[in-house]
Amino acid sequence: MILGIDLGTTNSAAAIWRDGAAVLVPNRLGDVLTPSAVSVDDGGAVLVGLAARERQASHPAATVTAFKRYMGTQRQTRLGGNSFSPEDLSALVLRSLKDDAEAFLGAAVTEAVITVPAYFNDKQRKATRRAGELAGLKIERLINEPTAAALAYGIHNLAAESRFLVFDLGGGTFDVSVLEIFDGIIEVRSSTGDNRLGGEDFNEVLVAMLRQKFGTEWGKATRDSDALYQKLREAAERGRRQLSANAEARLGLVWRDKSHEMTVTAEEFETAATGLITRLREPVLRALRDSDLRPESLSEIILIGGATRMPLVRKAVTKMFGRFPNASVNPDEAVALGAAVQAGLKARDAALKEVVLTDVCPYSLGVDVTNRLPGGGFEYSVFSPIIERNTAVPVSRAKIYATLDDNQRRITMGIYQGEARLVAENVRIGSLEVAMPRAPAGQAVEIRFSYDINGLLEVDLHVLASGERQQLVITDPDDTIDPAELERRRLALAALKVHPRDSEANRAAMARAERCWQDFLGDQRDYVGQLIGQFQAALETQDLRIADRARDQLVAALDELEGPGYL
Amino acid sequence: MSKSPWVILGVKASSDRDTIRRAYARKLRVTNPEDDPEGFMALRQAYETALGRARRAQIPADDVARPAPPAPNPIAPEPAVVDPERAAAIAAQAAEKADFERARRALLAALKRAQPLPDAELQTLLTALLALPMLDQITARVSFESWLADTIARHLPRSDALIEPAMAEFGWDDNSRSRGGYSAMEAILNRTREWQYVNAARQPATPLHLGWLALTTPRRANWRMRLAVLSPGVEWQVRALLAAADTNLPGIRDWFNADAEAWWRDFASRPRLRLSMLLPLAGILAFLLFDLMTGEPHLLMPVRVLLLVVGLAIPWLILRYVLRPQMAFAANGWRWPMWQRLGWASALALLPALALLLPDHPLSIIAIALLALVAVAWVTITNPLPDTEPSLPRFGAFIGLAWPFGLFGLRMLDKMSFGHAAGWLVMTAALLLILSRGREALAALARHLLPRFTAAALGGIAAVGSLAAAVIGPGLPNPAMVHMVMTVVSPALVLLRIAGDLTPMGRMKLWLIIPWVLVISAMAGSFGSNPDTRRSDPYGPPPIMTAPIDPSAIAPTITAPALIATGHGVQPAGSPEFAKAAQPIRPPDGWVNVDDYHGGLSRPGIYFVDVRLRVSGTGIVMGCDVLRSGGPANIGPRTCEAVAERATFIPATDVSGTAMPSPYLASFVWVVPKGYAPPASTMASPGQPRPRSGIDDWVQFKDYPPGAFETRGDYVIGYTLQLDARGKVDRCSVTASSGDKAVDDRTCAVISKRATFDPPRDAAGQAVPSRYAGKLVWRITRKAAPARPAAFLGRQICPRDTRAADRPGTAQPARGCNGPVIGSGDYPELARAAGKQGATGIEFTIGTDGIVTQCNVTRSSGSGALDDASCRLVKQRTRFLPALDAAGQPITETKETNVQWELD
Repeated sequence: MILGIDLGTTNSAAAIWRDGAAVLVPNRLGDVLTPSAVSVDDGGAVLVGLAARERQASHPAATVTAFKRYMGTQRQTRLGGNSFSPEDLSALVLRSLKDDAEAFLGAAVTEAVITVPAYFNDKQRKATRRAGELAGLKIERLINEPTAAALAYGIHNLAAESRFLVFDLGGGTFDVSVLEIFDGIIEVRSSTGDNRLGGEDFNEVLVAMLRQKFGTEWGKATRDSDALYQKLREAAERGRRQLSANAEARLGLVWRDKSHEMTVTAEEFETAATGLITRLREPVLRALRDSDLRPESLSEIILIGGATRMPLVRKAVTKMFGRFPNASVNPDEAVALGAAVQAGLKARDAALKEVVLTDVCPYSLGVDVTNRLPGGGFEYSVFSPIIERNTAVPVSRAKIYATLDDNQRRITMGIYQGEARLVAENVRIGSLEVAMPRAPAGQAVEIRFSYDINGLLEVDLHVLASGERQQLVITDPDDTIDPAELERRRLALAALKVHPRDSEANRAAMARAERCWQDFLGDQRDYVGQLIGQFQAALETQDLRIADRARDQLVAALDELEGPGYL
Repeated sequence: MSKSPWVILGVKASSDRDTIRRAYARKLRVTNPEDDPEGFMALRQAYETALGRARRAQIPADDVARPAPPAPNPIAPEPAVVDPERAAAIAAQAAEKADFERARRALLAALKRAQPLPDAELQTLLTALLALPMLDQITARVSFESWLADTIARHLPRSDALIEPAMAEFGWDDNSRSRGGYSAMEAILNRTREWQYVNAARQPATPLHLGWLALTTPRRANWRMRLAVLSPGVEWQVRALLAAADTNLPGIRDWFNADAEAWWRDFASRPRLRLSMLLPLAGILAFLLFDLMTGEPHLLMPVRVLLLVVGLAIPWLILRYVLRPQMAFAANGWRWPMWQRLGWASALALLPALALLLPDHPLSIIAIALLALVAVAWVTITNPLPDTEPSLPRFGAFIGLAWPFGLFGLRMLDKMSFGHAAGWLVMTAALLLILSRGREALAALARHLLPRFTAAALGGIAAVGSLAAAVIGPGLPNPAMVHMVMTVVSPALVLLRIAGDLTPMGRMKLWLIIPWVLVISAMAGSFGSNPDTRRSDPYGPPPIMTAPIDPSAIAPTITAPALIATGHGVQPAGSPEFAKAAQPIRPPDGWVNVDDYHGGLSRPGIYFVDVRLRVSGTGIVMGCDVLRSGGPANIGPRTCEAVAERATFIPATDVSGTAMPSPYLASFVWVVPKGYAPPASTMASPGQPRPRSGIDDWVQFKDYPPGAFETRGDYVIGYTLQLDARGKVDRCSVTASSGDKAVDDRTCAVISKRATFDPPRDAAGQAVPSRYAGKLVWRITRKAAPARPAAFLGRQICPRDTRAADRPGTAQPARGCNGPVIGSGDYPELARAAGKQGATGIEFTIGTDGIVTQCNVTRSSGSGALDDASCRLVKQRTRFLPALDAAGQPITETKETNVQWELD
């Protein structure tokens, strides 16, 4: 059984393909979404999911979220004495999902399809793959998130020929894909995005508004204090969710035992977020251009991703296309469901026999070259794309390059991913070096890029004069981790003490209650304190039924105090 | 491998998109990209090719040309639901659309107006249009974008002003957009490139500005255009601009003036003479002019004519044989074989040798110059630079400037023989080639020749070679050798320097530059050390002859060579009026006689020689300058020599009756009748010995003994030389003392060593011993250094003849009491500061040539500095007549003496 996993910035989810349909896997708390958060408690035990996220505001130093944004970098996070890379943190989340799936299915899960943002580069994809391996999963496929979302939608609409645009504004990334379905073929026509735009940016807008209002009062802490920032983010997130339903929201937080509150109307929020809304337009235009389709010919605009719940995003999309978008798919779950469909495809499920999916490479891949200008000068470090973006994968393309100098001994090129004309603004993913025979300038070498279905790149060189052929494995100095090292890290992660599954729900409720205690003042705080005391007493009875009931009461009481919990 | 896409897809060639797609879908099920990546790639390729062909086959066929599937939930077609919000939205949309259409039409109308609107107004229209809310809609935006691109492209150049705001709005210049060959957008982008190019060319400081002005300003008169061509760089810039207009930026022709462009196109269609090509001519003309003006022509008339012809022919030759073939080569993309591109370097190495072998004759300059020119032409043809390379005119200018400099330098150093001149020419040519064009070729040659040399070996050889040249150069008997050495060493250095770029020997560059500087300074030193006794001239500049000889006075009936001579004293410029001019004691006729020139006057003709004599206050001729001379090249100097020796004067006096120096002008006319034959060897009198080199070569400034006269003034020494039959000086005696015996002795010793003569011959043609009398003036022009309080010491080195007696076979000990050889200025600063004094006992060996070859300290003065200085100075400064053995042959001798160092 292959597990489909949506490893998101804020929330993750898992799904499986079973009996001709994708089914979401509930976690130990009974939710389908597991927050992508990791926390280490005072005892050194690792908490993942809701319990961890609830601790974020109260224990900012021991909790980490949104680490997906640092995937592929060497950034280390220190939590309770241990140092974690973004891969490690992702691996912990993946392992938690895997455990849940195993509990749900009653069977071991060893393989998975993981979704990544379309704009993840080679480095980030490799890091994701390694995270899966660290969690003890064999990664069968990496699939682009918008493609997965489109699959989840398209799999129910295979009969008709249609084209649609998937507008995926997640927690941290924004992806746009244009797909076409005909004759059972799901063809991704183009896929673009902005990997620095998501719900978190809208939160930042609210955070900025809060800071603007209370900044003078807070002084230096506004800039420096991480604890304050986490509180602000928490408040912003709640406020943003309120704004999705109401015309105005109250943002409130307690800082240094003082309560701060401000009211934001939907209009104010919209004005403040205009810049972000404008940034939504360019990727859409680009996706349409690359897909060679006209906007009129699209039959649906499908909204995916939690951030598309925001009315202002929906309004912007409606305005952009002159029609109402389709919100029939649950934006939080579509990606995981799509991953499960892909898992089914991969497993050759009978129900999916007639379905073929073709995806594209969402970015251009090429090398840096030096051009001889007409005047005799040179232009250095120009990006020469070999595989243009939005080419169907797998793909293999070759270009011929020539030496500039007589007796040039070697050609050294960087391999880049991106769209800028000068390589300085693109992402360097490796380099290659070719030894050339001594000869006059103009000796040609053919460079072939082969990009496989998982988004991994291979380079073949063919020196035309000598007939020499060479196959290069692109190695990135930051990125060479030998299997032994990987195994060592896997064992180290496995050895971490993890909270017992059974008590996780209680743990999450307690964490929330503790946060509330901090967030409230006066009578409310006393009330939360009483609730905590009662809950603790119930836990100490060691009776599960009593504990469960007490937990339900606690959650209900907290919901009343601060509104329902969210995922 | 290239299977037809239709075969792969398994359908018949079709232009129906649906057929292709269906075939692709069918095939795709069996070639899943998961299992069969290669098969998928081939299929995909075939699919895309087929779609491309289908699209081309039906021109307007676009996938969107087919009816789009009806949008399921557009805002508009749902009137059934009477939702007030929705209705309002529909109304608002309609209003927006109307606004937008109005603005769009306004913009189009503005572009189509007969009277073009100002740019700012057009931009305002567009900005207003872009701000409309309608454009937030993707559909409207996409269609408007392509409409705008088309409109702008269609209305160029009137729509130039719109490009910038439109581009900022839609990001057309963003490289990451796939434009899919959309022609309107390409046209706009090209237009912006043209704009950037034009704006760049309009900036005064940019390289194309002159050419831009030439092409955009209205054409002027033909001659003014031709004059404009002469300014450097214009032609190249115009060519570059025209090339740009012809290739990728055709739009820049909108800015050109049509007449000017036509004229320049015609002009540029053929290779032309450039100013830089005329510069070599200017160099040669300047040389000839200078030669004429200075009145002492070096070159015979035919040679001058030849030079003139060559000078005129050079530009034409370059044009005819260099530039046109070069153009043909560049046009055809030919490449010369290696040996032809590099062969000149070895030929160049042979040129110095050739220059040495060639006889010392003016014609050799011509020969060498021509060879050098050929080399330049060869290199220019075989190593063509790209057309657009601006170094081509620079190269020409370099040649043009370097040649006259070389020639002027040559002329200024007028003591130089023709052998020197040839060396100079070769050196100039070689450096020129190496520095300008040959760098690349030399690099290639170095790669061929020097692959195995290590960096250290090359650097070492270069350093040792050039240091050796610097050290031994000035000591060579023939100064011309220095130049020859230079000629060889310079290219070698540059060659090695270039080789240094090829191999990993970056540091060698420094190694090579240091000796290079040393050599250059050594060369400069060898010229600078010449005594310049004419530096300040109290006789003033040469005046114009005021009493020329009337040629009609020369009787046409003269049958034997005759001499007519006149002269008069003149007022020296800038000195007090004299009462009486200098009067010759014997008339000028008696100074020179026909016999003096029997060798030079074999050809019939009338030869003029005007000289200016510098008569000192004592009535002695201090010097003689040839003002004008016609005839054999050496007639002027010979006349001068004879006159200087024989003329004596009653000196000019000023009003107070005091004798003063003054010039005296004398004119001589030699008349050699037709049919006159020199008496050859039937000369009755043995005649006079003739010096082989000028007196300036005998005595040099550095010979002046330190410590002698230090006050300003002229110190005249009269001397008589006893010459042997070989023309060597046997004995030198001072007939008129300068007043200081040390100076007299030193002068005599130096002359004895250096002077050589062509001995006179008796009736039988046998060389005979003779006498030679001369005068030499030491002129102290600088103010004497202030007297130092410090030491004056060791006035003379008069070695005691300690060992001469012991040595068997020594008939005559070495003679010569040189001194004072050590002056107060020689006192070592260290020792002076430390107050060291004392006597250093030294022992030194005099070689057979009279030079001290070895010197050892036998007794220390107690100060190392004084001891070292003693030996160093003695070795540097003393010269002896070598000791002779019984047979009269010079032998070595060892002597000892004390050098006394005392502080006053």
